[in-house]
Amino acid sequence: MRRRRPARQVRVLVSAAFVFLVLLAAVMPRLFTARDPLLMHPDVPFAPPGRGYLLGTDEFGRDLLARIAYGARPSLEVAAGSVAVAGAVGSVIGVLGGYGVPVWEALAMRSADVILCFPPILLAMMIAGFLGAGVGHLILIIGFLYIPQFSRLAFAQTLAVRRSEYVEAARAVGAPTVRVLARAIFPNIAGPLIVQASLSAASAMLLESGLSFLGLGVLPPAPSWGLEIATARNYMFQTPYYVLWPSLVLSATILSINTMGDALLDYLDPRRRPGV
Amino acid sequence: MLRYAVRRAAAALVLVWVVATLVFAFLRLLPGDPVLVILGSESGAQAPSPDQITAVRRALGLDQPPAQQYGRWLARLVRLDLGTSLYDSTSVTADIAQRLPTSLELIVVAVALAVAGGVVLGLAAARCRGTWTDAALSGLLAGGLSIPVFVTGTLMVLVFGVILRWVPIGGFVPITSDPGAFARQLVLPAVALAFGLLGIVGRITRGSVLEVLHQDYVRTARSKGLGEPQVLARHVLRTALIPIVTVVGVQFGILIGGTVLVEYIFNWPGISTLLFTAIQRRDYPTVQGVVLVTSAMFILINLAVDLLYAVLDPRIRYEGET
Repeated sequence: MRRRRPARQVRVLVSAAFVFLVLLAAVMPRLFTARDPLLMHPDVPFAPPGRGYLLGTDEFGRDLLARIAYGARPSLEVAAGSVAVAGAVGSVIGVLGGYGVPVWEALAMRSADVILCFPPILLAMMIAGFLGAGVGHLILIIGFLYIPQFSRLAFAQTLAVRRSEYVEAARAVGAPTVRVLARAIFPNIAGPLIVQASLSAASAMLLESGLSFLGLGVLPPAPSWGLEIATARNYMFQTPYYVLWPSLVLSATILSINTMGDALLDYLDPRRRPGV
Repeated sequence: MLRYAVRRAAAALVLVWVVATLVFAFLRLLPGDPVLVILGSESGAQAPSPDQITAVRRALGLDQPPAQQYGRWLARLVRLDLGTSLYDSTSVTADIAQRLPTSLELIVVAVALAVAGGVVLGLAAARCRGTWTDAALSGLLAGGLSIPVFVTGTLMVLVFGVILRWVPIGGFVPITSDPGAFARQLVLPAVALAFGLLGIVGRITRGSVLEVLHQDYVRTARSKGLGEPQVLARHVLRTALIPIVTVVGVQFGILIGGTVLVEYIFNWPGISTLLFTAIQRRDYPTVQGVVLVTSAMFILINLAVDLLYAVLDPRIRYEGET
């Protein structure tokens, strides 16, 4: 068991550092490059990685490092936005349902059953295809699709704590239902919901990049990793590294978020803590 | 068991009906006139002519009162009639029936690869728990879970198709005309699709094997002198199989998602390619048909998994029956 821990800790630390870098790029892409991701240099298309352009240039001579750095924002906006929507709506529905508030109980379980019937990407493709793509729409679509992930979890967690003594105590002193839910129940089930949020964020990013890859997500000329991979695919024969950079960054980001989510899960669940 | 099966089947049927209703209502829920949405007047350069508008309205049955539209939609569904394509007036049911087997060939091979690979790797990781082998295997499995399927697919095309030139980089040959060529075309898309599921199956296997590895009955099996392979196959894996069955069923939705992207990358003429072109052509009846058929399949697979689960574990049947 001894040897396991350092490997794990290193993995989690590296992941956290990488996620921090990506967050930094999303907030302040200028820290990573002084170049404009949309500025074309028609005289240097497909420049190889090197001194002039650290990662090379694309078919219009745009700097790839700048495009990768600026591409972090739409991905993270969609991931954070959709998880915020799903987390807020799902937790409220789930807590009210789990506490046994009459109509909400049915709403929490049945709405989840119905949403889960649709393979997510199909529904997202259908909505985005007819409603139009773009970051705002993606947030609403993915946020809606991920409601069950939170409502089911909040439902089960609330069900587990609603007969506990501190909830009974809050009720006994005459606290109104809203207060019981907000002050006694929610803080005690927040942990698992936060873990779910990190795992959902990774999966939302996966979905967003897939939709962008198909041309149904983030719209050009905005730099987005999924879109970038789709474009670079057409030039794979000439310049293989063009497709390589966004692929590596996107995969590493999702992997890092997942690794952190897993670590949180292990930390919160004593049975899964390593070495026990 | 029969009562449980009937109850579950009835619930599944209700879900199919709800899904059909939602798919029917979708176009009418969008802001604006559904006909104009389909003709793309908001983004298109020229406005559609009144004749075009009338034609599409009639083709979709939107010229009739909503209640009647809904009744006809359900009546047609019962006869498995999904309407006709707006693009080329072919039967949507026939289009789907023609494309579906191609997708299923890909999915079945990918699931087989993922389950076989995932169980072996997960078992190996569990047995070497805490060593660097475990760390490496777990890393690989986490990669399967995290690396987008279109990245795996694209990089595989780059390495095996463009650089090494081992396999063709896309296209399709029917299995009936040339099985060898079919298999060569199938390798890359199937492996790309399997990789994601492999990560999930592997992690579940590792977790559930770890849980049963130290159970009393496993120790009993060892102490009565069974060899290690027999202990693993008969006692450990058999119990560990239950969550694996569930996860494959639950992940079917994600698998469909992966299929969309894999078919797109490798030009595989399956149901997802049909959906994708239909969305681009704003051919709503075809989109409706594909979404409905895949969702219904998804519901049926979950029903099958539930029933299988109840066969494997009798306690589940009685849940909620008292």
